[in-house]
Amino acid sequence: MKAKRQVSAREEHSLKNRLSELSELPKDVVLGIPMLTMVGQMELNIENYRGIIEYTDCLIRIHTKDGQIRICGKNLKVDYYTNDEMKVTGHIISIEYVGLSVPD
Amino acid sequence: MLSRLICYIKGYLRIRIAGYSTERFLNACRHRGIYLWGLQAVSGAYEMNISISGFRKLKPIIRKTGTKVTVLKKSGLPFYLFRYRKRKLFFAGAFFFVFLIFFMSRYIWNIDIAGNKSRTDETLLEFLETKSVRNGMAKSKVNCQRIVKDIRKEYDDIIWVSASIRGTRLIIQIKENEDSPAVSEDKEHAQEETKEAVSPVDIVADKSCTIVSAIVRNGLLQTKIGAKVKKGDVLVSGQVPVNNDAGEVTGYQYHVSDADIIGKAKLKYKDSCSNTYIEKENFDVCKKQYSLSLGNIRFSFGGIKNDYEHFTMYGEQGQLKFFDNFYLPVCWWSREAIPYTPRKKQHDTAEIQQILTERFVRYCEDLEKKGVEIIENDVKIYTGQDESEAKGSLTVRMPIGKAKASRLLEVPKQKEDKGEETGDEADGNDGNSH
Repeated sequence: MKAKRQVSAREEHSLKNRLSELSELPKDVVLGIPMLTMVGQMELNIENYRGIIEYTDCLIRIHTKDGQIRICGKNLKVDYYTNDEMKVTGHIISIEYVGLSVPD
Repeated sequence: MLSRLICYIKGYLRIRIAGYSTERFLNACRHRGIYLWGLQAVSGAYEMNISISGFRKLKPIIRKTGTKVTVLKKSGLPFYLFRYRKRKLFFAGAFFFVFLIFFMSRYIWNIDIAGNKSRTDETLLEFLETKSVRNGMAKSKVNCQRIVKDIRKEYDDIIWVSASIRGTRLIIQIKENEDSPAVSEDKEHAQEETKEAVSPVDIVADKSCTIVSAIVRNGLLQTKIGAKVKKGDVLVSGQVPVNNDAGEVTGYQYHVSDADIIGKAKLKYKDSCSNTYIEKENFDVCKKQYSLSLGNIRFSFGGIKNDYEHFTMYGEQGQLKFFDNFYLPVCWWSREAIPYTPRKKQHDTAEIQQILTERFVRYCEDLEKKGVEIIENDVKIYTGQDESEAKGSLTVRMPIGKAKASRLLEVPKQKEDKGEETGDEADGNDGNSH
């Protein structure tokens, strides 16, 4: 049952993907996928997220539409945290996507 | 910067959140649109900044998430004012300051004159003073149109004036007539032209020369190409004779002469330069004075008085202003006097030659700017014992002529029977001769 839902979600995803490609609309708007903007290793802007799952000074886990994003680093701080956007500063070592579906 | 200022004005709190599900607290805040910033993880708890309005909305979130909130610091203007609410003089002072700024902004504290080349700021300011336009006057009393008219009326060589008020500044922009060589002479001409537009105006030679070319647009040429003329000779007459059939002059048509006349003339050049010069040998002493003035009251610190015979004085002045145009009647000066011993030194020949040549080149450049073409140059440098000279003459082709009111010519008496026939028939010379 769960597998079926995943398949249909994937299909819908690819349909929207194609639609966005055809209409030349930005994908983050059409698909609602997270958008990450990095400045060097010290600043990270995240849009289209659902919330914070875990936050310590060396790890931040963020819940997004398709899964989680793990940000590892040192002295991580959240400069601001609003409904649309958050900004992480500090020394960022790695960004990892966890549980996101891989397109075929 | 601006967002920080807004936060300060609105006021904010630094809070610490501790408990079991602190992340849930953050997400709930986000969900309710409560702005959080400066979030930091501190030993199992979070510290963050929150606005006052956001803090008031926290109660249901705290109850729901079971977290504990501690206020660490209160910052911003509302808390500052609340803390010092009993200091009445402070509030009075702040109110007075705002009032003073408002009051001061209703007066002119700086007059800025731009575009003047031949007249100094001081001359124009003195003139404005006579028209009661001065620093410290009320802005409401400034009549920009009146100022423009007054300046135009007083100075004829100023061809364009604009006066505007920006902040506490009165900005006067002027444009001078760069073509007019002498101000007073031009003033006379302008008056002549405006008052007696119909009276004839001649062009007379302003220098003895040989005429090289003449293009007459208005008037009658009185000389020939190649003719030698003396200073004061009439080159173009503003009175064009009207002849009858018999070739007799029956009257004159009056014109304001207009012509381009080029003449070949000799200009004498003489310039001298002393062989010695004074070099200043500064002492290690420096006297300084600082002054501060509030309106007409002036406070000075230090002094520049000294017993030395010679000293060089440097000065600097400034006026307090906010941004570009909000000037206030607070000025400061700094002056310093550096005493020196004058030492007489001798220029060597090469230096003298360089000085005199540079001056001569500048003189030639100025001439060329005026449309003078240099044909021949026999200026030489003569080195003397105390003084050196550059002298000689320049043969040039230059524009000749200046306007002068004509001396009216009398119409020769004619026989009465011919008088009626002649009428206004001109001899074909309607003034457009070459």
